[in-house]
Amino acid sequence: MAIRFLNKQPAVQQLSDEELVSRFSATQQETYFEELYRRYKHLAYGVCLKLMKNEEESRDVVSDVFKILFTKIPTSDIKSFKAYLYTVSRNECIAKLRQKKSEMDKMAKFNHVENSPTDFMESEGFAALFNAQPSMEQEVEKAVGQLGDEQKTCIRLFFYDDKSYREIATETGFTEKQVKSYLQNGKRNLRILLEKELRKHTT
Amino acid sequence: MDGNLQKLTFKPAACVSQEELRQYLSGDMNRQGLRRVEDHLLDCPLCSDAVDGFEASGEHATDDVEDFDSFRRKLPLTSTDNIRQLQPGSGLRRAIAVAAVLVVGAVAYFSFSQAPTGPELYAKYYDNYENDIPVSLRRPGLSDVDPNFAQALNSYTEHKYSQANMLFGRAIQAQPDNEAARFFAGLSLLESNQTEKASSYLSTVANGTGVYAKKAAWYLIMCDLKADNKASAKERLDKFIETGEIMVVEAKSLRDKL
Repeated sequence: MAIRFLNKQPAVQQLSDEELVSRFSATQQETYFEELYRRYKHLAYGVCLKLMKNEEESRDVVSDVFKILFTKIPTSDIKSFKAYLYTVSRNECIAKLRQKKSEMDKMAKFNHVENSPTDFMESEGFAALFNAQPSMEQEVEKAVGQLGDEQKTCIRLFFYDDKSYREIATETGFTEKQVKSYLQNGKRNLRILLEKELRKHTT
Repeated sequence: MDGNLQKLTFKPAACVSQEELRQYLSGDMNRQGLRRVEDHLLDCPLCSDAVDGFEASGEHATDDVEDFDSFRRKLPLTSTDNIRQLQPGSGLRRAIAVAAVLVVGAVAYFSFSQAPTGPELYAKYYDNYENDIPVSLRRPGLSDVDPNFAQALNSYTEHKYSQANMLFGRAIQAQPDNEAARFFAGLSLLESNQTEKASSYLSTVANGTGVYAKKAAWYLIMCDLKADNKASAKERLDKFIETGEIMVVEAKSLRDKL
């Protein structure tokens, strides 16, 4: 067995999010936080654009979000950085929208997200379970058969025929937004169905 | 339809980069890239909402957020990293450089006058231990290899520590005497900031006589440093140096700093 003690430190670009968070927590060196900022600022901006519907305000919220992260990372137990970023971004947008009384009607659309692990973590746990199984083909086929017609159609066109959202929309007459929604819900339902199956196998 | 079910995966993938997002929004993306992005959007609320946001606003300038150099001015100064960004030039820059020298002096003064904390020493002395189990033993599906252990090692190698923690837990449940599983579980938990659990696993390995015993003893010291328990680290380090088989120079250097 090759024993490699004290191998060279990898460049920050090669570190995982978890490693960056861990190292930033331990050392407070901005280099680690800078890499997280570089990786995710555009995504935080997009999330803010979706909720704020205003570019300038969205930029301000992104700035606030990363200031919060900079302060909170060292004292928080963060399991998934992107899940944490998503939660903080949404909550900051909602807080800003609450402040704007004239825009209170927008609030009805959004629910406050609690600071808890989201689908990200569930996906990772399930992925491990799913990938550890030797053959799931029959179970997947059975689960696809149990989906509603729209979800089934979109799932088959996307995963079996490699069609893009746009091509599926053209073929089915759904809008691209509907296609994405049917795929997201269909895949989530598949995961739930398969998880049940896998639990049966592993218990 | 060709019925190729292998295309359906639940494996978490990297988020959409700024360049990928730009290409996706402008329709410049090749088929392979498009496939990766659209597949990822189904599982990642962060990227999915981000794309929705850009599409709804008609905004395709993904680099519209200030860069870090500009953003850093809004942050409290906590690190010497800032100093590296300064360059001599204009009068203002020179003044900043002088200020930086004073800051460096102050930092140096405090470095000498104050002992480093456990986490600071951890950052200096900790190195990620590479997966040294032969590839042939990491492959799930082999009759004599526990699939959870094999999968856990792969997750560890890919730095997916939360996933690795769960799988190592199962592997140890199935094979409580698996020394390597306990060792790598300890390392994975240490990377996930779960120092107490990590210590527990590494202790059982360090107290044994297996191939990972000595290495586990070193990483136990790292656990103590990360948890800022310098007294325990010192005690373990003294014993570690006494036996003096591996990491002698590093251990002595660390002992001096403690």
